[in-house]
Amino acid sequence: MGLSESMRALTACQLLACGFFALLFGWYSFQGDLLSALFYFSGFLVTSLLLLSDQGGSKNVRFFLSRIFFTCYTLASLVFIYFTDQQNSFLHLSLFLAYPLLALSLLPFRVALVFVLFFSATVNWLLMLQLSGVFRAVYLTTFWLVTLLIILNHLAYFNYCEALKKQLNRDLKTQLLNSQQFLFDLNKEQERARREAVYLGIIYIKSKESFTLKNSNLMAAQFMPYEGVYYLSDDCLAALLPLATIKALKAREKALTAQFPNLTFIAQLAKEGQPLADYLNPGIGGQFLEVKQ
Amino acid sequence: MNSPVSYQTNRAAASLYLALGVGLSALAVHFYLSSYYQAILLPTLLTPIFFALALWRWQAASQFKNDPAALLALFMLGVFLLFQPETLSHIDQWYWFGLCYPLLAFYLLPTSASLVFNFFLLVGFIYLRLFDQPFDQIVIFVSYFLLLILIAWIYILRSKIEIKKLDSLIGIDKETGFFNARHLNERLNAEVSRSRLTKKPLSLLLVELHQYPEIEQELGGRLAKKFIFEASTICQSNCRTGDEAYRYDRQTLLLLTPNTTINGSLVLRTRLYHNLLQALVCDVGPLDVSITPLELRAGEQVSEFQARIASSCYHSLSERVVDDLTR
Repeated sequence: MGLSESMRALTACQLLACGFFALLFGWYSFQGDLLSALFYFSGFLVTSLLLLSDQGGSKNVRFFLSRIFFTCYTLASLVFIYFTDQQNSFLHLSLFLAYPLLALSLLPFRVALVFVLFFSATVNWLLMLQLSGVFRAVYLTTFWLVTLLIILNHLAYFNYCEALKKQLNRDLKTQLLNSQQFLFDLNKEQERARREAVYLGIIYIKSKESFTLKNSNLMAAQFMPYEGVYYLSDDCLAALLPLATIKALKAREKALTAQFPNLTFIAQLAKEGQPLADYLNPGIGGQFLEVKQ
Repeated sequence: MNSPVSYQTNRAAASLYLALGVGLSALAVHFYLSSYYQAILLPTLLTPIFFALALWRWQAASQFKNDPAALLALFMLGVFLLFQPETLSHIDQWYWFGLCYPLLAFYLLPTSASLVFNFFLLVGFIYLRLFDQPFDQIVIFVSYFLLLILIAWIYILRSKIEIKKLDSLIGIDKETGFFNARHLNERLNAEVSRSRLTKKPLSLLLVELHQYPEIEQELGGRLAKKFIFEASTICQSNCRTGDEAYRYDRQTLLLLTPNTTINGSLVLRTRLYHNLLQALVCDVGPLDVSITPLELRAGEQVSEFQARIASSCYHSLSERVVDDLTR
């Protein structure tokens, strides 16, 4: 299954999960069981947010909504367990086992872990009082086993992603080469420029807003294939221009400023003996040419 | 490109099989003590199988996409849930055990095969366990079952999508620290364009380590990694200013040498060959390495150059000859 098929399958699954939560909410409302209805409505909110978070939108809004909705879901679950006799409600009990999966799907790992631990401890305490006999022992053992296995699985996945990120030489958001690759290429191009007796130019591109995949690709298209464009920070890109001359660099800077008036371009020549880390900040490393405000 | 890093939770799966085995054995002992002999067959039969699966998974991880141990375990659990005589006081308790199955299935087998198992079990439940239940109860049970499948599937798909996204952006090979073939294709485009502009030559060296698959097969992955790492260190030490090193495929390293003619490449080739012979230790016999120099031809396009690189590898010659004959 390719990436686009996986994305489509995910959207379909989230849509269906939303539908089932809505269906159960409707069913329990119809039955007059308001506590159950509230629980399934909060589940509907969580799955709706999962669905909407893949369609884009503001990061900050998503950050707050995910925490608020998931807190609502957690509280609704706990209130539901506290006020309803769970001895014979096996269907609801089965759904509590899936709590860690929802938490880890919606929230970052550490936040989800806090939610899961709090929820598991409270559910354990509440069900100890409500359930009885062998069934209590079996359910609570299964509950902790499932929670533990899901967290272990996610921990392995989290470590795997971290290991993969160490092999990245591109930024995840803009897909441009990252700052680590910038320093590597800068060092190599400086040595090459020295060997070939040419200049190495750098153009920094600053924006008041964050660069996205779309506008960073547009920016990369303004340069030749051998002129690498790099992501330095959310609001700053850099382009390495081998074979640069002062005149050509100034002309390039003017042309880019005319084409993109809402961006600031800072052109400079790489300087011998300057620490590489200085080049991560526009205007500090190298010979400064001109700044457009 | 498949990343050399992988994440496996085979020991956690082994612990799960062990827990299931212990649970089933406890159930069998319970039936024996309560003289309920009709229900003792399945737990007694399945207990040693789960213990064997636990031992198998503890010793070795699965090499297949669909883990055979997980397939067997899910099949046996399905059989147990469908055919075990009712031992618990109330039919509702079967609901709960049945509803654990989707979570277990997606943990042990996070592929579409687990979907098949889940749907078969659901159909089995409707026909064998729930046939005497009222229609609305069956609909609610099916809704819960599907909801649990969907929640598990959402989690699995999200993880897979994240890994696929990361995989598609990786540019560095973990074993050698060199850039990988994906980054090479981008850099070739840049270097060919630069070579055209400056009218300077562009050449490269293909370093094929023919014994790498043999070492991997006979001595294991660890020694194979050590072998390729040592070879890459020697190649790196032979790189001049401006040269770049890549891992072209499993057994081939590539040194991209801008501003170098084919004659210059031949000199580099001789030096590198001697250094490899002197410094690289091969545990399966005398070192078998071939180094092929290539130069960008006048007017040659990037895609043509890439195709020429691919057809210059000796180790893939047999595949290419078979391909030509079958056309």
